[in-house]
Amino acid sequence: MPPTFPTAVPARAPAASSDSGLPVSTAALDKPEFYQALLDQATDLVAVLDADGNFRYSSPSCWRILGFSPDVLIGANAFTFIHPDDLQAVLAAFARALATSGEPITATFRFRHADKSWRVLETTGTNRLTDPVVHGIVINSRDVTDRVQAEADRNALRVREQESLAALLQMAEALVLLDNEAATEESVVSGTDAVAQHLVDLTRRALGCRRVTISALDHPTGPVRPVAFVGLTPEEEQTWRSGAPGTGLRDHITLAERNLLWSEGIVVLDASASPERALPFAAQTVLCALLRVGPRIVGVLSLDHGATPHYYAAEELALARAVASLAALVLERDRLLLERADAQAKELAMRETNRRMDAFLALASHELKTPLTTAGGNVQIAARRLESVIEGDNGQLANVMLLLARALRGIDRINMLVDDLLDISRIQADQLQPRHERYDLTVVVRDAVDEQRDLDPTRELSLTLPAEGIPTLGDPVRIGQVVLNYLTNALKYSPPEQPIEIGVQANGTQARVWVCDLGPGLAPTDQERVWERFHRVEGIMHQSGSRVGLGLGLYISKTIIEQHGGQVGVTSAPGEGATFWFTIPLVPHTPDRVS
Amino acid sequence: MTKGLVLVVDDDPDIIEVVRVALEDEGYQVLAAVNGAALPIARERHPNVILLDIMMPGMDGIEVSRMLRADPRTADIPIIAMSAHDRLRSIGAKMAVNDGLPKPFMLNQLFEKVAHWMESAGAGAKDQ
Repeated sequence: MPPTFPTAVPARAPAASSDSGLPVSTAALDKPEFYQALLDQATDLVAVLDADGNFRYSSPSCWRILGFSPDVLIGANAFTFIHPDDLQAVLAAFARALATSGEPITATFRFRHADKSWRVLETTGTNRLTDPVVHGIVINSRDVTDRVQAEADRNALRVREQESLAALLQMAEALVLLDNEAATEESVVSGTDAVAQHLVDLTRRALGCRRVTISALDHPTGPVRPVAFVGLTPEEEQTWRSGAPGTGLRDHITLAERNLLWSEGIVVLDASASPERALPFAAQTVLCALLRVGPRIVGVLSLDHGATPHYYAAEELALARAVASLAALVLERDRLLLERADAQAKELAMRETNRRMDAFLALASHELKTPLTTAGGNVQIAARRLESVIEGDNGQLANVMLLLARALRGIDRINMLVDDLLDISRIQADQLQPRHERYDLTVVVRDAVDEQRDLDPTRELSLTLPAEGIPTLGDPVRIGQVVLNYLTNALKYSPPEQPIEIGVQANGTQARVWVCDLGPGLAPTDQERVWERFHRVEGIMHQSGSRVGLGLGLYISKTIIEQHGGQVGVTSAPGEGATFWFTIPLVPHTPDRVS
Repeated sequence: MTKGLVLVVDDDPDIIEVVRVALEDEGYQVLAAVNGAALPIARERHPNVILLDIMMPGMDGIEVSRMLRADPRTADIPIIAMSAHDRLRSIGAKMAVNDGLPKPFMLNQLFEKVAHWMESAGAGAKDQ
């Protein structure tokens, strides 16, 4: 059985009277009261004009529609109430009505209300002048003021929306163009100011508001920074820029509104919410939209319509949000570009400092080492010439030879100290640049040991090398410098009769080099501090060799090894000697800085 | 009879003097010049080895070495760069030189390098 649907038409109610549902009786139709009742109840205005446009009759609805009593209108000329701009068209329509008997003629025009405002009337006029009963032009007018106004508002909003979209696109294009320009601090600021100003101008035009401001917020609880405004008088601008207590939005917003702003990103403050409430610049309503980049709040857009109350349509709120999003991007771009300009300036300054440091170190090296070269060369020439004339055991001349040898050692020591000072300066300036080349670690260690053996053949140096070479990557000269530093320390701080053990070992991923002495050893606290600059172990005297040094060698060694991706360390106990070691990775490793 | 002709190019007269005396003691004939003045001497006298300082006022050693190499009359002369610059290795790598000698140096190092490049340049006992 098919379902039965409830009908939209209610079941017929019981008849209230015997006349229900029946046509009006002929008798009623014959009575003038019947027609008077119809006219009295009509919502439209019904009137009769004579051929000159004078009112001969008006329905009582003229009270409601035009604010006049019918008595006032009777005898008055209708054209005197018509808006001057519409009068010509109305007169033309009236003339057409006069010329065409019985044909309805329509016209829409503005008619003056008793309160002097204009009401828009949609009117139909029919010529019944020849009708012996009516003898006039029958007018039927409907008040369409609200409808026309709403239509005009809709059109205006649509136009504003289109303008806004076009302007937003222009903004986006301006932003893209700005990003393509080289950023300096000045260009960033001027570019951002121009875009932000464009944005407030656009917003004011699109939303038809009185004032628009954009303020940046570098921190949610920090002070606001004025960015751009439009519509402020010079006094209002001064107040706005001053950020004085009581002038900012934060002084007027309630907790509930603040929460709404934070959660929704937009809020409308309404002065009519309470009698004692006052908004900035005595505005009736203020719309605030947060400028957000991701979760970060970067500023506030605010706008108002002055003392006029304003209801914000959904489209207007949407537009305000769009402008706020764009303004947020403008401020964020501003921040990023300033950061970039700042970083570039720092980078340039750093480069200049490095260049000057480099030039200074080159000069220092040249100026310190040239006299050493001359002094050393001359001492050597003198020694060689002296040697050739010494025959047999000539005590006096042999003594001079000894003096020359000492002078040469002194020059050599000064040269090494100069090297250390230059190295430390390079480390300070971040300019100690190891080379990056293939070399055999065992060769480097053996060369360093051989060099030391040549310098002092009396010391016992025991070298343990693996059967095969250890190829690796890095700076062989710098690694050799570390080995030599370990070696000279061991020789310096251990008794001359004690041997020094040197070893190299590789385990596949890393190589380990160590230098073991039987000197006084190091307390645990010193084992860490020996790697610091200028550190000297208290109470330990060097045993042999004249090079005391500046306390820089181990620090330089540690820096070199770390630049190679390795580690340094020492194993020791007081009275039991010390084993200084370092490791370097064997996997291809790129030093921190490669020349 | 000398072991060969060496051109020393340096702006410091003391350095020139030390190198000149040391090499003459060893039996070499030595010519000296400051920066760009080395070019005509090298062209005319064609030394067996050139000892070239890097940091010189005016035309520096890098430029001098480039011009020596560019001239076919001097292009084949071995050049030993000398410098008190602590980056001699990296600078030398960029120069068209055969060897480097960091200042200050032991005379033995100087003699070894000069003898080595004399020999490779085929300079026997050359009478100039």
